[in-house]
Amino acid sequence: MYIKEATQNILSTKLRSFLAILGVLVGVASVVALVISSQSATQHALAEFKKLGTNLMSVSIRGSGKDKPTLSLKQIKNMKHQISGIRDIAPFTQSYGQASFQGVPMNTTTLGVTNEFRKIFKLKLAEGRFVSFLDKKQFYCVIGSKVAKNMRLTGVFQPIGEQIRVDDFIFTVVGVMQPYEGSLFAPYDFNESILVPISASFLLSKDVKVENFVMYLKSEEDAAPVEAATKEKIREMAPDLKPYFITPLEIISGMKSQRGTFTMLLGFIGGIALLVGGIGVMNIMLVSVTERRREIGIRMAVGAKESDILRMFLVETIILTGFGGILGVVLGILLAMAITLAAHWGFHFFWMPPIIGFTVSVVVGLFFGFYPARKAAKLDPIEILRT
Amino acid sequence: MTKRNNVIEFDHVIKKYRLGDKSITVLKGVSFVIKQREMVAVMGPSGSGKSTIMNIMGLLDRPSEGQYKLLGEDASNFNNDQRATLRNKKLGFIFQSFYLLPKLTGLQNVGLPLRYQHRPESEIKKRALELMDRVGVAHLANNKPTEMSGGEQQRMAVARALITDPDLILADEPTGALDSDTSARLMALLRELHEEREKTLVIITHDSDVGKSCERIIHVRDGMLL
Repeated sequence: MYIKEATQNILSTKLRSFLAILGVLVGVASVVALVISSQSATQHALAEFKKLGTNLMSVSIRGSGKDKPTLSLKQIKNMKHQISGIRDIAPFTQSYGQASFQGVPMNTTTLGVTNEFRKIFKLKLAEGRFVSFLDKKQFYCVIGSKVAKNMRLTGVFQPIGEQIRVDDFIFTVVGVMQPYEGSLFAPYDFNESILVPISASFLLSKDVKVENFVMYLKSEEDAAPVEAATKEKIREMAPDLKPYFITPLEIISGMKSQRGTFTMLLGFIGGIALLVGGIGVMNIMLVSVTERRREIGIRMAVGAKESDILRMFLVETIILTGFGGILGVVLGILLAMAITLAAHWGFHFFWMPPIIGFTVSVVVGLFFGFYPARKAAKLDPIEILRT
Repeated sequence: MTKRNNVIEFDHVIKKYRLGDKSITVLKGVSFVIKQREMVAVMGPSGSGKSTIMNIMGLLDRPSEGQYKLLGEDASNFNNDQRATLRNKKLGFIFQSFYLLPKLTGLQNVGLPLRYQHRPESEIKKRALELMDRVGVAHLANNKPTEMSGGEQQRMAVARALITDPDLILADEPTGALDSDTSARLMALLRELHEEREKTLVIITHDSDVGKSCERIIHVRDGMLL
């Protein structure tokens, strides 16, 4: 009875009802859209990490001070045999030299790598071959997909065999990589990188040193013991070096706690929007009570109790805000789809934001509907019917 | 002849209203009795206090002093919920300006009192249609009040007043908004229903024609009975 009549009443003032729920609608929609989007983004990032596996450990050994202490390639490679728990170890270098092709500078990074580096980062070749330890100090290189694309734009159909200049050195392209989808754990965008044998990279400049290496562990559980052992080993070899360790799991847990904070912030903003929306609904309901004084009086005269009148207005407010909540949830999901599509995160549906959004909108109706409903219920029929 | 119980007893009822810092006495000690199956007119000019009598009888208002007994029970003992329940079950109201709810259909309006008894929808519909048929407005069951004439609206209101099978029908200027032909027909209907269903009927009016068609007239002037 209450629901049917309430719906009739709401529909008899469509525009006003719509305006009344607009605040709730927008509040719920924005919370649902933002929370789903941010969770989709996190999900996307997590998936990115998981592509490479979570049993990785990145170690930075950038030395500071005058003599810039460092480790030799051999010292690093030997750790694989000295520390149990390491399956593969991939030291790499970065050179800051300017690369150019046919005299045109290229916006690239030159990395000195090993075959282990390729394995760990799952680099795939589109054509040609990878640089190997057999290349030793040969000036061969493998280029990223964007580098190849830029070379093709200049009219070179087959980049393999072409020559790229890095500072004063000429590298011959022997392989082109497939587009790298990227991982947040990858230190560089490999699509815009030129990969050269690590031994060759040392020749580019005396400043090129191994400042980072990545370890592929036998399992995630090895992370702590390996970190301790590696730290100890490095301290033995170069006491002044302060290694810095990071694992995907640490980043993931960091992201998760960040997401928690972010979600709370969004919830807070949404809460304010809903508060404003609720006040809007309360306003409309107060107007409605004033306008319907005669109706209330008639209902009371034919036997409606205070509780009947209270319930009538409360049900009406809850239907109103609940409907706003449903529209808000739908709009929010659509917005989240649009946002995640635009950001290439991939849409992930989460049940919690819509459920919470709808529930809160009903609670808002209950809370902000109570005062107008009580006001209606406390009206004196004699005052209202006196004409 | 069976003994007739008192439906309404006014015992020195006084009603005062506060108007700012002044107090206005609308009823100055009114006493009367209306028995079961009586058809009584309460007559008086406007401002005489007859509407206040009606409101007190209808449990919409309370006496300031004195005692009002409805069906033998002291009304001052009732709380708001009990008053609502008694209005619903024992009383039927007919108002001058009909007081139908504009958003509801004729059928919904007539059935409204039963809805507050939480009766099944099918029963409400059946009884409402029966009564609407009796008062001659069954064909307007699905129309809104705005689509009805004044006479038709008041017949709807009569059906609504009868639907809970109350002991007492209170009509406040029931013909006040109707032309004389329609008024005469409505009064004829009320008389018929009064005789047919043996309801106690109290009509508040200032129209002497209406008064004459009742069995007894209570005259009110300046808050006192004549």
